[in-house]
Amino acid sequence: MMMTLMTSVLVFTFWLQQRDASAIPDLIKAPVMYFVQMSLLAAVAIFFSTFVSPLVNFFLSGGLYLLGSLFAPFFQTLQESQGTPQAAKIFAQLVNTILPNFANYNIQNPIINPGQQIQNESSYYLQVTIYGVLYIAGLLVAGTIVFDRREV
Amino acid sequence: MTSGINRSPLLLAILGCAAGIFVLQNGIGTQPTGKQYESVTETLKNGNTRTVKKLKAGVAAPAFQGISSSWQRDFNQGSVQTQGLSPDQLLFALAGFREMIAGILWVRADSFFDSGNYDAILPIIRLVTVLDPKQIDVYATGMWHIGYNFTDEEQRSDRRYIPSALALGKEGARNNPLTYEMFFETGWMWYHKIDDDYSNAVRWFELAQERPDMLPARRNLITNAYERDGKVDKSLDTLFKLYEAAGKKAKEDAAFGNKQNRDTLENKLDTTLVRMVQRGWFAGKDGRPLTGYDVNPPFDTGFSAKVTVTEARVLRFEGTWNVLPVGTRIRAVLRDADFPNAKPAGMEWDFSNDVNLDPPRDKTFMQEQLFVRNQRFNKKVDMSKDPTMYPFTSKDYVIDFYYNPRSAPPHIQDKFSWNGEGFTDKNFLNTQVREGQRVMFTSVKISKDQLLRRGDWREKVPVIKTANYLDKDGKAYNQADQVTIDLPSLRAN
Repeated sequence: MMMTLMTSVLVFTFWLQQRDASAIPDLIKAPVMYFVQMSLLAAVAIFFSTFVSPLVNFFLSGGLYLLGSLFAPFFQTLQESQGTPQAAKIFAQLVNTILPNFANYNIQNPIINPGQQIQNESSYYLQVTIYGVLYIAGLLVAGTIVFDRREV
Repeated sequence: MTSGINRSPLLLAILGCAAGIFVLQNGIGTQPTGKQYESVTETLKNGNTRTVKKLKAGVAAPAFQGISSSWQRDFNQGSVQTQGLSPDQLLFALAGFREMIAGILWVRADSFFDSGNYDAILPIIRLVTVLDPKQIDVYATGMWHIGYNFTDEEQRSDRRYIPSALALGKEGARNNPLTYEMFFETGWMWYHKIDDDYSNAVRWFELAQERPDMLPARRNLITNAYERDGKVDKSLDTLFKLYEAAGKKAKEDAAFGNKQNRDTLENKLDTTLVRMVQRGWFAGKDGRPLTGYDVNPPFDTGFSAKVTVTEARVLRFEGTWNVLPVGTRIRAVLRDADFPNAKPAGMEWDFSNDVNLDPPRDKTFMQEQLFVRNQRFNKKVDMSKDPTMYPFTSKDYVIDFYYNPRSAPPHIQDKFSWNGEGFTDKNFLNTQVREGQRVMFTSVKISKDQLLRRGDWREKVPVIKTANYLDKDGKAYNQADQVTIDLPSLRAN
């Protein structure tokens, strides 16, 4: 709800300043992706809440968010580095797959810099949305199993 | 107590999700890395063009491209830079708000601009470009700032920074290959600031031309760069092409700007053709004698120079240049004899890809333009007020004098022509220091003791002059308190 409200204010302000409705669909892409990103973060927090205290959960979820946002550029650097051992690359790929990859949703740069030409844009957004939904589903189911094992 | 739900389908669901996540994230087949892409300009059905990243030849496309690979191609902003950020900025940057932090830093840089605190701006520029490599304005402003704004008391810019400015431009172009801007800016640095080695300006302008978003007025500039690079035929060809395209555009859309661009190109085309005829360009190409053309006989510029160290770190350049019309600027360079990557009257400006904001503090490279009026130049160069810019730590120095007809304004080129066909100097014509070009060049040596007026030179005034130098009244220089070091002429009279 909050994100919808903020997006509405953003769109309205943009329209007031620019009077150009054609750019609004492009503008909305980032908030939509943020919504999926935040839903994924909420799923991570819900999952951790089934077995850790709220304080630990705060730091765990926050830490995972930072790691998930930062690992993608680091992973790229590792993959392209000639000197990195193959074993390290495989391990990095494993970590990159397991971690919820929050960086996937950081698509604001091409919106700020429209010169960037994105290929198969819709396909990418669809892929990351499905990725988010699958991750959220997996985390919620895992959370259910963990919670089910607890004595209440 | 536990609810005792059946876990098997739930575990299966988790496995299914994990498999889906794995495939979506990593794709199927070998995924291409960022280096395996190249920028390609495509023409769309409506006639417009766009530049996209495509796989290089020989790189196979994967069966299914994963999110990770697509993100690296289209959305990755490079490595995460944390140095120089305050803790709150660091937290924001790590949390994915790099562009926002970059924007805040750029606003702060603006306040430093206003207060004239130029040194403080450099690290901010570097930080902003690393945090957000898509901020073209910061790259462009940063290049200009590094290349032009570090000036001494007499507004001479510190040439030691030019390689860093070029490196920043190259990095900006690498990070923003889809737009012309950084290619143009880098070319402009070569064309205007370095004002030499014009093949580099041409190379960068050509790369800019390949980008469809280049502004028409900026597209036209490449013809001037071709001329300065000695490729006059290529300039003419390009002018015809630009004129044709501008005419078509003005016909499709009769906006004032389109018509003005067409008319400007027409004027430039006419002028170029007239100049090519008058300067004997076509005759020269046909192997006909140049008798009767403006460039014949070649004009002897009669360069001579005298350098007087009037005080410690203060030089006075005096000399002659027979060209009467105003518009000649002779380049004078004072540098360490062993300045790294030095070449006659310049240096290998493009030697580095690193944006080094700390140029060699122990090296000196002073470049000045000696403006000629009434066939003489007379300029005092005071380097005593900026010791960080002119440290004078080496033992030996050289002073180069250089003039290239390619950099001359058109009214002087009407006599000298583009490649100096109508230009000569009895003593200092040189065809070696710039391959294939006729330039004026001479170099003299000077010691640290002479420049700083110490040791044997504490009481004596060092004067270095070319053998042909005459004072304004026509008499050879001779004053009791001055010690003249005569340099032999390069040519027998």
